[in-house]
Amino acid sequence: MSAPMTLSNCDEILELIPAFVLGALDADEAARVAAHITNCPRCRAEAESFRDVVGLLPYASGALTPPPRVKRQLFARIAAAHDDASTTTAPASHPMAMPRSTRPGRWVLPAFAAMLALIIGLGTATFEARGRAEQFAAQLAFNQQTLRSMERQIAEVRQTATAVEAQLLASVRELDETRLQLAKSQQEIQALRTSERQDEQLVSFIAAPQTVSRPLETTERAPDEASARMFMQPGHNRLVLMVYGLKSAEPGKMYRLWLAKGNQPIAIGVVTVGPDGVAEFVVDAPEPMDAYDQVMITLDEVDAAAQPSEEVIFEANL
Amino acid sequence: MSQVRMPAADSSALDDEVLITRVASRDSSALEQLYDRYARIVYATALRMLGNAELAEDIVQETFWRVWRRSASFAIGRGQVAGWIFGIAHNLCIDELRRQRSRPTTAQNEYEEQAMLDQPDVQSDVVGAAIERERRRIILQALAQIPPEQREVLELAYFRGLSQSEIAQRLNSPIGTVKTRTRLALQKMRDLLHNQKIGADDLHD
Repeated sequence: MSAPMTLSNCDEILELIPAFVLGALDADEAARVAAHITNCPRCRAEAESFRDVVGLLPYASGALTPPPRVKRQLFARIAAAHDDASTTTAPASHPMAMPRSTRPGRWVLPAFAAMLALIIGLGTATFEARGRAEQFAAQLAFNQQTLRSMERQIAEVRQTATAVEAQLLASVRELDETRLQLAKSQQEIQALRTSERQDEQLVSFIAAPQTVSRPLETTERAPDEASARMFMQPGHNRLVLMVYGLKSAEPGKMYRLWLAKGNQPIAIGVVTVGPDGVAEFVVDAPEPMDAYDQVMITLDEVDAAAQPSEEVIFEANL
Repeated sequence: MSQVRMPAADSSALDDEVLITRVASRDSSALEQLYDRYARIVYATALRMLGNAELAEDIVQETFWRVWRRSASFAIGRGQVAGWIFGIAHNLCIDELRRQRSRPTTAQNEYEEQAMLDQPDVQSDVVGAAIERERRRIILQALAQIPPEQREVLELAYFRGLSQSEIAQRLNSPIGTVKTRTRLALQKMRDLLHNQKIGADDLHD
């Protein structure tokens, strides 16, 4: 008959409260209501609102003085239980109460009082035991409810933790990606700065008043639209070369810049042509530019020897 | 409707809450005053519920023993001392009734109960007797104003200690009907008492 206990909602409890305050619920239902109203102010207030009614109901039975022995036994029991307590006082005299001598008090022999208490105590032991059992049942019901509520909370927290963990993982991945991106951006910025610096150098060199410039001649191997111009300063080693209209070198080939003293060509460097057909080349020659007689750009095999090939694209006599 | 508040006969008539506080500090004379005030109601109620004088005497003693033992746990302001005492007594009676019902023996002796209530009885304290009479009048009047079928479930629940399902069985009614009647009865009684402006303070000062 005792259904598995579920978390009580207020509507269900409110239905039970009238019977609860009248003591007309089964033990398990009563325990459930008791546990609920411990935690629910609304339902507790509802239960308490019936207090005056229930508190007056006993008066409907009238009133009847119990036999004097009831009172006597009660105070004997109290005297026995608290015989050594200094705060215990004897019952106050009462206008029409029993003669003082018949009532037990501090003057009752301890042994007699203890024996009396034992006899009375045996009779009331079952009352006590039942009362305790009730308390335990209510406590148990309450504890079970608390346990279930905690289990639910733990499950919720676990779910939240899993979600947070997943989110954390995703965030870490994003962070890693961002870091990579950042590194790449930094490299790009670095490259841009380098190129910017080179451009600045180039521009300032080209714009300098002592700089002289001269075009290079194209050969029959050069494309029609190809042109090249070189910039240098008398007494200085620096040579700047601007090339336009060249195709990028095919795989396995490269453009090389040569300077020659008399018949002696010296390989100065590789000229890289971009996809737009433009090449900017800045180099510091081993000697001042005045020392050289000739400049030329050839298209060579990548593993070419120290001598320029026959395929000359630009040349100029200095 | 007249006020229920009763004037104190003399300065020795102490407030219930003062008495219970003294009981909690192990003043047995305070317990004696509470006993003199309420043991008569407890005894009459126990007699009505159990129909057995000996058992009713046990209930009275056990009730005030528990008042003595548990007075410290009584929360001032959370209810009336009288209601608390009656609650203890009522629970003891219900336990006894359920214990009896689980053993197929003694039937209630209605004759004995009636005989007991017919006995002339005198409350020694004049003021106390007046308060008792007034409270009795109030509750009987309220009970008279609710429909008989509601009064019946109230009687069976409170004084016979029957559970809702037991009442349904006895009256051969659906349990839902019993629950509704119980609720309506208590709500109506509550409203009647409040309309008479009988608050907690008025009742128990």
